[in-house]
Amino acid sequence: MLKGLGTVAVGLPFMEEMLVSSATAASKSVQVPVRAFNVFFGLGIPAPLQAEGFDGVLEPLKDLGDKLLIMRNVDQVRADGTGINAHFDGASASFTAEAPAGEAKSGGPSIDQVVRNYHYPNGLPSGIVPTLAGGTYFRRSRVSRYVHTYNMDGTVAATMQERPRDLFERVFGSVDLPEGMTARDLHLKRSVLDSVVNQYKFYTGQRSPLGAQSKARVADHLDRVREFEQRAYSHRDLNNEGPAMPPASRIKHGGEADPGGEGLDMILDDLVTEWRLMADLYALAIQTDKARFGALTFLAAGERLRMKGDYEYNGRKIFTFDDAAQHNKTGSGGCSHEWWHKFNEKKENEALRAHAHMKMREVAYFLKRLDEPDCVEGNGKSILENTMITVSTESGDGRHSDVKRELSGVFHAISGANGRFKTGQVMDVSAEGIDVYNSMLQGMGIDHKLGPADRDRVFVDKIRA
Amino acid sequence: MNRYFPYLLSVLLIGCVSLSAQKNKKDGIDFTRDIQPILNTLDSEQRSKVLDWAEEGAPIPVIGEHGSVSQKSDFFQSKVAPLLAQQCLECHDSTSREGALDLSRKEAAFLGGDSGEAIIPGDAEMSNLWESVYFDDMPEDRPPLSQEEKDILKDWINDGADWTVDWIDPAVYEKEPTGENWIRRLTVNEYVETVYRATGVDIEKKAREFLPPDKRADGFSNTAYNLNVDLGHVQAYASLAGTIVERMDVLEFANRFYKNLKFTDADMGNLLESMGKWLLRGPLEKSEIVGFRGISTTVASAGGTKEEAVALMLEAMLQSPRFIYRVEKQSGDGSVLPVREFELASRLSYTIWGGPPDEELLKVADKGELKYPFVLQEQVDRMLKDDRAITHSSQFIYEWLNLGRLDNLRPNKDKFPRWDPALAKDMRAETLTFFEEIVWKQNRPLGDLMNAQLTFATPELAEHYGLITADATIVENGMSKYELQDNAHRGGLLTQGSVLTVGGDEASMVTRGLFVLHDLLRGTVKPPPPGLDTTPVPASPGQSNRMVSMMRINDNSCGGCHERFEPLAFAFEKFDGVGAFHNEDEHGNELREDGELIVPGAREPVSYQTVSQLADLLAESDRVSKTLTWKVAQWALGRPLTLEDAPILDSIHETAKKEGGSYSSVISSLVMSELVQTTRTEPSETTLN
Repeated sequence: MLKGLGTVAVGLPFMEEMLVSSATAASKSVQVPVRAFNVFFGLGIPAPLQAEGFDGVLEPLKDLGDKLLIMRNVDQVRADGTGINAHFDGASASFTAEAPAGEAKSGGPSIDQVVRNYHYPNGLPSGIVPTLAGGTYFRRSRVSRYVHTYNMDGTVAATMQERPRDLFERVFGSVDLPEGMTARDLHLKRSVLDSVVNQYKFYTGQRSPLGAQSKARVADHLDRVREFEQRAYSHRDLNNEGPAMPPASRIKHGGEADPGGEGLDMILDDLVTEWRLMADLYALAIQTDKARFGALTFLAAGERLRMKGDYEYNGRKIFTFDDAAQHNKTGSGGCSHEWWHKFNEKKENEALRAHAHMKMREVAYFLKRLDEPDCVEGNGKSILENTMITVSTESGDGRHSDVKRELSGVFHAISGANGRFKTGQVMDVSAEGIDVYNSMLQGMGIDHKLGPADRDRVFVDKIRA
Repeated sequence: MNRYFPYLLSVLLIGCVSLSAQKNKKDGIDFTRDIQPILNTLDSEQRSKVLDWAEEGAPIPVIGEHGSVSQKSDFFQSKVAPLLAQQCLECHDSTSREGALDLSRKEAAFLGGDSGEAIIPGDAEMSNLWESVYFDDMPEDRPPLSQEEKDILKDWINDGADWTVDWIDPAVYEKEPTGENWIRRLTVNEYVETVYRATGVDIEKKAREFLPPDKRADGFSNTAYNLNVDLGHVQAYASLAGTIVERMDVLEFANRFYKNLKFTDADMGNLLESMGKWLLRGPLEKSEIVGFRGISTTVASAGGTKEEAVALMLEAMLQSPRFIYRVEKQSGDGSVLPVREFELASRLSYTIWGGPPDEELLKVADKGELKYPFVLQEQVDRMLKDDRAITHSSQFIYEWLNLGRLDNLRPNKDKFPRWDPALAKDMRAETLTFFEEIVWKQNRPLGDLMNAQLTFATPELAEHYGLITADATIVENGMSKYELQDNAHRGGLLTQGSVLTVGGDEASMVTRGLFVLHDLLRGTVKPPPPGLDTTPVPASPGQSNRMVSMMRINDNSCGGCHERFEPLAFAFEKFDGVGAFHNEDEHGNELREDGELIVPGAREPVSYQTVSQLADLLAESDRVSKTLTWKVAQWALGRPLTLEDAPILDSIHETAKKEGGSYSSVISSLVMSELVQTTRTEPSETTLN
């Protein structure tokens, strides 16, 4: 079931019953759950390269072409805020169409959270992580470089899980209760938790003395307490049947991975190994119905890596990465980031193309994990087909020389969301991101408008099925 | 009856009591001794009015400027000034004055510039300011103003162009008021301190291992909106609560609050009332007592012991929202109200100590006496003398200078072959020890952090800096104190490695200059317009960092902004990327330390010849000390500061300055201000249910 990459395969056995696809397949009457995920990749694809379609850097998405709608000319210029470049603004605009509203805040919610809020106003069913945020990324000077799921008030919707083990714990971990605990002990501990739950309920209820933001924060806390309660006391008998703990991460994380923005040396295989394990676990979380909303990040906005290694695709050697040597610079100047600054549509841009192609390969890896035979659900479609998955990035040009150009033509691809959106096309939508997102929300049956109150919605009907 | 009668009486009362308190300073203020006699001099109506006023929280009526703010003034301050600050002052402030036009000051703005009168009150069509934005000629090289922004300028000019501030300080308008009021979750540091003070258990090691770290936002990691919660927190709180209780002698602890405890509902209720008030920092509602008591009932029905019951009730309290968060009443009618007594006690203790109120503070709150300014001041003075205030203040400097960054310092090994990672830790220890020395041991003004002629270093750091060991006196923790009066290059915060390393390996003039501009002068500068190649040019033979910097300053496209901050870093050219001192760089270029200090709002720059002269100028600058007041306030309040806070911060700063400008005086002035003593309530109908 879990392929991984050889030595890092997630351990088996694993209970078949936990797979939502198996469960739904057994009963045709089971509804496919509403799900929405955002998949982000850093640095973007210059708009002229997107125009080449599957013959260019988008080649790795070709196999999924009939299950995706690839949108060209999506404009996020309205999200341009302060700053010399659009890494920060463009990354914040991904999935929100809003500029940042603070170093750790977006100007509005991300589309996955709007869907969640609408379809599950009273919270998700027990046992499901409310929002799952994870990714493989290194640059972290500002939160919106790597977080791509935001609450309705613009605050981050979930803590980022940046190591496969962190994500594993978040999804599959059980609560450790002391060994030898008897039924009586459990009963007493449960009474403590009941009391705690009641207090959090009070502060989210009508008699609460708190204001709107504070209530929302405490309500969020209550959701987590309930999740904790469920893990600690409801399914303890399943614990031994879950997937085994993945291996420890081999690459740097946290502050040491981003020493003052100077960049990080990275071996391609190490990066891919880590990412694919993360992607496997995230896909498994969806497959086992432990996650219905959230975001997955493959490299942060403005990521600075000095990559090394041979890059092959389908047995064909594409390029040998050696950024520092190829730039003939150390530190930040020797990072792959610089290829985006040097993009010139009249030139070959070989290194940039290789990096972008590799990113598409890895995004496709995750998407394909949701499209395998064991991901077919009760309606005969795969999870990829049934879910609203939005793939996007930070810019449509990395040269920082023209904000309009930089934030125009920002790559977007969406899945069909169970027949709600067209697929199998590369479409020139020529629309603002905010209109695309509002159209997607409309397609999901949600009457919620992103953007300024006094701005009329403009629906991009052509993306609707 | 004059509506200000109670106010006048209260002033009289406070004045009398202050005098009385001065006389009895040794013993502090005693209500019966000091206040009652004064009340006795009033007639019954007067006494009743004063007591009513005190009962309402002793609000001081705000008269004068705030009370007489006209609609026009409000329009200028809330609409026009922010627009000018954000769109025009980059090129047209007192420093730049492009086209000889200064739009930051009233007199200069109405005088106009090379193109004539910029603003003709009552006639937008004839005003150059309106014309230039209408035709999108301005802002130059920036996106044009929106129609809404243009309308604001037009309406304001046509309405008489009422200009109501002396100087438009762009920093004041940087953050727009959001109206948001976020509950404050305890940070990891606050949680550790709260557990220790409330239970006596030191849970630091395990808490730091289990609790997700707090992330920085807007310059500090205690920014309330970003203190969110994930499953990891909830798991940690539950696990830590269990560990804490395991380490306590629960019956002995309970005995502090209720003697001879019996395992009955009545006794447990009485225990909870008293123990809960302590642990949860204020009295419990009956429903809360009933909730916790349910646990003891469950234990009893399971055949458990009273010790078990107390332990589990403690576990529940340690996970309660009232323990994990600083719960305050925020719902109301939308007005600004005094915070309640126990809330104020917590605001005081978390601001000054980073932990919960102690017994004395809770006792005063319980009596309802914190509302009296003299009682409050007495408590503040007492708390500032406690070691907890010193420990907590080190968090401020740690956060402000982002000293955690030093853990991740990885200088290029080829460029700095002698770099030892242990030096980064030494640099952090240097700054923390230096801060404690200046702020607490010497109780000097915060501005003195800029030029105090001493520092602390390990032998290794001293060697790295080139300090003379003979000048050292051993202090502790492997650190020695170095007097720097005779050292021409070191002295003050800015010559410490913890700050110098902000420039990265190349000792960037841009980054260092921006640090001084943003973090010391509260200056603002816009990012370069798109289309510029901003790749840093490294120093090379014949071209020092300073020369490269001058090229940027002399460049027509870059100079307008770079001249505002790069000269602030000129003083530090002799310090390399890891803070070592050289007279020549690696290419043999001679290095300099002279430059210019441009204080935001000042009409002319001030020249300096040496790094120590710059340090002296910064130490004497009111702008620097006011910036430090703002930084302390932001950290204390856990939120970015906005236009609404500005006048109060001015007042806090002035009060603190009169009291010596020390950290203690800033904190004292802050907690005595409405920023700490009041809260803006939210109308109930707007709250989420």
